[in-house]
Amino acid sequence: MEPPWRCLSTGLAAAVALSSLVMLSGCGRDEIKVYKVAKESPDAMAAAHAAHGRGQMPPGHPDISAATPKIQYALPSGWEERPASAMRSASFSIPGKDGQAADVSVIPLPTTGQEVELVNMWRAQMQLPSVGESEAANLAQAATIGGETGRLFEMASEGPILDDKLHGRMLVAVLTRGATSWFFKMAGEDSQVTEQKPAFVEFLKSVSFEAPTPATPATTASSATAAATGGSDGKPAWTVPEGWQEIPGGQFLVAKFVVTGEGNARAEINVSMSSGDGGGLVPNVNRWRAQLGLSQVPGAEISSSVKKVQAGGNELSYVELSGTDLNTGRPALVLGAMVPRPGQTWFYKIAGDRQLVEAERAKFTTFAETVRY
Amino acid sequence: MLDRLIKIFTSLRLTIVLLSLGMILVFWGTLAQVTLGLYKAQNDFFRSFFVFWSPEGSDWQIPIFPGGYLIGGLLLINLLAAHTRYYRPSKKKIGIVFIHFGVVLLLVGQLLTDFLSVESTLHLREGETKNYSEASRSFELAVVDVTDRDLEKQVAISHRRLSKQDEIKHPELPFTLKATTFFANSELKQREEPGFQPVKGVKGIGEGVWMRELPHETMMDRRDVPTAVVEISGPEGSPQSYLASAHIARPQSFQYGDRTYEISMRPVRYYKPFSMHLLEFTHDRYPGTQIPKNFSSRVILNRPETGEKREVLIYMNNPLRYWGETYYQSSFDTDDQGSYLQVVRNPSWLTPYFSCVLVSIGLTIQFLMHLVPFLKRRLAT
Repeated sequence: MEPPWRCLSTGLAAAVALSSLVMLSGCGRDEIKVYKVAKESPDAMAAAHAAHGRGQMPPGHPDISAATPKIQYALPSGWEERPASAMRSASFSIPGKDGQAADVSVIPLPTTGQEVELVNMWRAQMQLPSVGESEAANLAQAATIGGETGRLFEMASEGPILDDKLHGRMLVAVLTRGATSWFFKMAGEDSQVTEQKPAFVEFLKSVSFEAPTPATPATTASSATAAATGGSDGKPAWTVPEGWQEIPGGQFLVAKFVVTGEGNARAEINVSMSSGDGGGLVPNVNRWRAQLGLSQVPGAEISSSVKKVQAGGNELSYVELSGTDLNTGRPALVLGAMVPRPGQTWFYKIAGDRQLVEAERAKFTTFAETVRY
Repeated sequence: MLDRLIKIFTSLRLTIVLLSLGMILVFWGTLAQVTLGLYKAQNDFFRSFFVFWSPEGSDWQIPIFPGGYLIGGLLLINLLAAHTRYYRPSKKKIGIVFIHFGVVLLLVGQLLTDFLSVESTLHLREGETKNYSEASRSFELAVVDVTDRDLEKQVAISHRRLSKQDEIKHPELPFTLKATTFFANSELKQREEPGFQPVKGVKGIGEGVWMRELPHETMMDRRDVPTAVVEISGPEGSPQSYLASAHIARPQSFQYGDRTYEISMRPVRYYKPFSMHLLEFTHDRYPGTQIPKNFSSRVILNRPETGEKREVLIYMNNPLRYWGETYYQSSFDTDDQGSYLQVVRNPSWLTPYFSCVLVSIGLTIQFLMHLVPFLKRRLAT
């Protein structure tokens, strides 16, 4: 007879080992991964965008894409609007006979310049042979799309392709507008598409394009000259002090200036604007403190250190913080000003070498107090 | 007391009870897939210690039946304990050892598969090249530095990490990220509708969008679509927020300092040291019908670091096994110009084969050990 503890210990050891495995495998699922990868080629991206039939959304899930550019149009009678999707800016269904329905889609894609491949893709869907580049170009008719001239392709199957009983027909109108090509496609049963062609042509004429929401507001390319007077590109009017040089600040800043002094001394002036209260005084000051290697302090302490100044009809809240430049290890000074405006808050901050910021203090306060919103 | 416990854990009766419970669980769990869907049924019945029941209208979770982990775990303990208790080294029992070890390997291997295997999907259009596959159901927040011409640096934050809604700092990012809103499953609208809240204070394409949280999806053909409002803050300027949602297919870009970044919520990616290029997808049907006969993907496998570049044909029942992964032909685009490959990484994929071999050897030995003396006796008489 084996000692009883041995039986149990074997079983328990196995259980513990398995539990550890379970826990180990559970770890790491929280992780942050970093990849350095080669950029996808534009061709590969276009191919990915051209994917259809199975999008990213689960079947039946109502999906939208605010990234998809929008259009306005007059809806022809008999057409039923369908929800837009990640690929489609607009989508319609036209009920026909015997349960058939023609499908109309409006899809914007990055312009690739490879139209022949697209024409052959549509021809393949109609079970037609591929054509060469010149022949593909000859197949195009001129069409008016939203007041501009586009190209219209019409393809009809030679045999029955719909349920092996009905002929198919496809109309595709293409309009290239800058980096985006718009594809207006109607596909369905031959006679129905032929019947709906005049409505499709009228629909194309009625289209107007909405300006897309810029994904990257252009704030980086403003030149020093333009900023010297201010008041353009949505910026308030200001006078840039002598010695300050404007540099690209990125999307998060309205403007960025740099000033240099003796011995590589450098200070940066950031101007930014946030909607509402911009997160409030305390979190912002604590954020600035962290940038100087200072610890977080309670709100009451920050509020008591704020100096308020009335200027140009605005109330400026000044903060002064002394610490260390975390990059250079040199003594650093930050002067910050918050200016609440209706519905928004403006932030002015000069940060850098302590002596240089001291020297620029008067220019900075004059600058912040003389901005005309 | 200890003796009694040992008796229970080493008893054949426990084995029978557990196997019976296992059969009931499999039957019940299979039926439950009709209403719960495959994934929820698997999680509720087989990947759990107990099957829970909630009275209608309450949040209570009452355990009503042992789950797969409990039954499997107890079976394993029962088998190991009984074997240790009763086994005496003897030539006559060599077959039993093989059988028991095979069954233990099967149980452990299944658990390893459960926890270590990773399934993903590689979708390729004809002419497209990819060096990553994507998870079907889990998402990540990708912040990609796209400034350089040829290379991009991607920082991918799992949606589980994002859902904690705390500050996320990483040495590769000059700013801090924080999800101020996080919906594990969501719906977006471009206009105001009852139950939806406006996305406030964001830049980019989230402006004018309305969102709402949805309960978790449980059906097999649906999945959660997460949405988050992500705040980006750092030394440069005041914090800015972006709407990152798996509903939004395209990344949004922003400038930070002199770098350009793109932010998006995307399916979790699994990068590989090689790429796959789809040359052609073929879909054969039985003549005169729409019934698929065969579908296959002709791909080029390219691994620059080893100089390997070869053409591979992947078709039904003929997967590609490479780099510890198996690529199965699983689906295709409706226009027959794109292919879906299911990618399975299962480090313990060989364990069922080994366990079956071990059990077969054990059964054969046991059979022969009885057959040979029997035949000898027959011949002797």
